Amino acid sequence: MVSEREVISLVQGLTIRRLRVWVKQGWVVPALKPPGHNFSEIDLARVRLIAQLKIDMALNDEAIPIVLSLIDQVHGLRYELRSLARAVEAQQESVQREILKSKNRRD
Amino acid sequence: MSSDPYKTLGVTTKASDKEIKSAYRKLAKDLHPDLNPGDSAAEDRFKAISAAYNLLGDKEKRARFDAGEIDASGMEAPQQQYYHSHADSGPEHQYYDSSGFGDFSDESDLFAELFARAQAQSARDKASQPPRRGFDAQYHLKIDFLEAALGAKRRVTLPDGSTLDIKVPAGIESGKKIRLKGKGMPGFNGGPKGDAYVTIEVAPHKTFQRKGRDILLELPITLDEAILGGKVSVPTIHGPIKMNIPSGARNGQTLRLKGKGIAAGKNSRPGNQLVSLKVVMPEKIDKELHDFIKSWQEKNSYSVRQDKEGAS
Repeated sequence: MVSEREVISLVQGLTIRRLRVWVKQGWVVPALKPPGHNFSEIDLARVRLIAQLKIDMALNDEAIPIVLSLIDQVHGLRYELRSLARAVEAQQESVQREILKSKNRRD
Repeated sequence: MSSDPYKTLGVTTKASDKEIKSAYRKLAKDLHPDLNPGDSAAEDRFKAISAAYNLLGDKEKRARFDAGEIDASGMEAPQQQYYHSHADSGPEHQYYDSSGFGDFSDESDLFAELFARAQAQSARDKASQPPRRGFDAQYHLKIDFLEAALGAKRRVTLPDGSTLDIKVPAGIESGKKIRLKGKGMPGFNGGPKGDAYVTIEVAPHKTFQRKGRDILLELPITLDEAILGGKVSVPTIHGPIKMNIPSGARNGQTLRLKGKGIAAGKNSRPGNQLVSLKVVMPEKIDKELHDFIKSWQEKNSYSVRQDKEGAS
């Protein structure tokens, strides 16, 4: 967990005002506790991503939540796909073969 | 990275700062690792272009590079933790979104079971997270001029069917926001609700105008009222009152009705109503008035345009 102030110093071009606006908009959702030190690693990485989208890529404010939502959906899908692949992997080889066969037939 | 940062960004050595920036911007949109999760080739290229931009995007560094004082090595940005390396870890973080599976469950019972579990797991993992404050909600409310001037209580119905009582303080101005603490979106895991912000828009009035807490009004009076004076009825935001017109009132003269503006606020004194007189000639000049003015003119002619003489 890092503080608001640390986040500012770690992310280029970020001001405390901007960060607070992003939190208010719900683009990044830091924990409430412990007070003052509430940005986790993923929050920090997300702030950095938003900064790059806004500053480096010049996305406007309307586009940011759309991009974030799509990215989060991609991660949700990637995660589920991976756990499904793992579930297939855990089957006996004959079952795996059957699954692959029927999947490729559909392609 | 390529030894030539210009080539990496695909620009010539004569490219302007702006061209370099836009070349970088374009490549970053294509190659940013968070927009290409899992594509390590894109990630490597992104590293190369950000290193090149680190060098060429900085006027001083670029000049030193062009002069051969420094080379392109060592420009890589410090190892960055990308968002995807956290977000890929599954449903235990608050940004996980498995709503994209909603329609999968229609396909078969097996699908439903497979992905219902994914969604339940995500909900369970979220429940073990620390409480978070809800988001703030933004609303817009259009009110009448008089509601803004006198203050009002308004009940508005929100999109979700609930109602919100808003106390509009007297003297509020267009564009001002009213904060309603704890009336925003619900918190997560027992966190407090966010706040609601209501942006006020004040509709104009056909008679009154406002300047701060003063009310401005233009009052038409007749020629005889202007000359002889008298009591006339004047609308105010608090209802009509009688006002004395002094004899010999001039066109454009402003009379002040003390305390008849917007009531005192927390940090301000009560406003006044400022009545600007507008002398209106009779619609038709009858013979009597015409003859009178004619004989009056012969004895009392006066000049009003001395200071305009000579102006072209």
